[in-house]
Amino acid sequence: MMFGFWDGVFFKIGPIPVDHLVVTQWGIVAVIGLVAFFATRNMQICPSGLQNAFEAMIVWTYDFFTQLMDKEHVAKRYAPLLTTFFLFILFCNYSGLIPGAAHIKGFQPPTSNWNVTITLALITVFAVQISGFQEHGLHYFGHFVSPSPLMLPLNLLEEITHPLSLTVRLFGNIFGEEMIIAYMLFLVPFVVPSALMALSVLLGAIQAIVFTILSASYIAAATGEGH
Amino acid sequence: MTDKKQNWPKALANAINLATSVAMAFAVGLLGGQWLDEKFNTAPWLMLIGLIFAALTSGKMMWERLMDDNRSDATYQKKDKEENP
Repeated sequence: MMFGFWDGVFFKIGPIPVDHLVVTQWGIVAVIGLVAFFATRNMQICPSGLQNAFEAMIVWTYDFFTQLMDKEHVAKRYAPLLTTFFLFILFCNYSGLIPGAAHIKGFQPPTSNWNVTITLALITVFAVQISGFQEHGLHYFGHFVSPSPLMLPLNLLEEITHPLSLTVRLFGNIFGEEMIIAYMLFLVPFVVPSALMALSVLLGAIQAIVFTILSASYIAAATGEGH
Repeated sequence: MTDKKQNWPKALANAINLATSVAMAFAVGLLGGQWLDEKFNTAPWLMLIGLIFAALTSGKMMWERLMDDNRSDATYQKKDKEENP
């Protein structure tokens, strides 16, 4: 079956069922972990190779998030989380390009299932609330009744739209892309789907960037001077 | 004249965020209202109230975005006057 309609459980850890999405994500985490391990296992003062690439990436992400979030200490605190979001979502999106993805039973890109995207969005929600509380203390929660207590329903609705828009955008884009490629492969198995697959390389990166930038902007809004 | 520095990550985030947040506010208002209508047998009133809240929330988000941009413009103009009196 395609696109996660197969809800098979591989095995159970006690009462917790472990399905194909969890196993695929473990694989992706293992790949990212291995690359990070090889990049940092023999660190030099004058970096070269993989260590050099990682250091350049970390410096770039700190600068990027500082520009986006205004406050440098907040950017430095949340850059590891946001960079992890980016790498994880990028690898998840690109896992759909591995031959057999969505065709082999139990193997589908995790981000084409909304359970995964809503989990990522919920992590952002918690990070936003925690960052706002860390920066402003109890005054942070005053923004829910700002500028007047009458605004409480509107402010709550606005707060709910953030994780939902993150969830739906990532899930919709990746699921739609996987569907189109699968039907193209079914109708015209050769050459034609290659163009779409090339496009999905771009789309996968864009969606990872969009999720990360939006998460950063929500954190920036919670920690900003307006609250 | 001072060049207005474009903070492209912020501009991109604002553009993407506003579009999808407005759509989601309407989706939450409409579907939430419909669900409550079914639960309390009050159709179509709670759906309409949900839509009104969604429209107000969307307006609020757009207004805040506009005010942020105005504040940012005012800051740049002030800086420009200080540098080129």
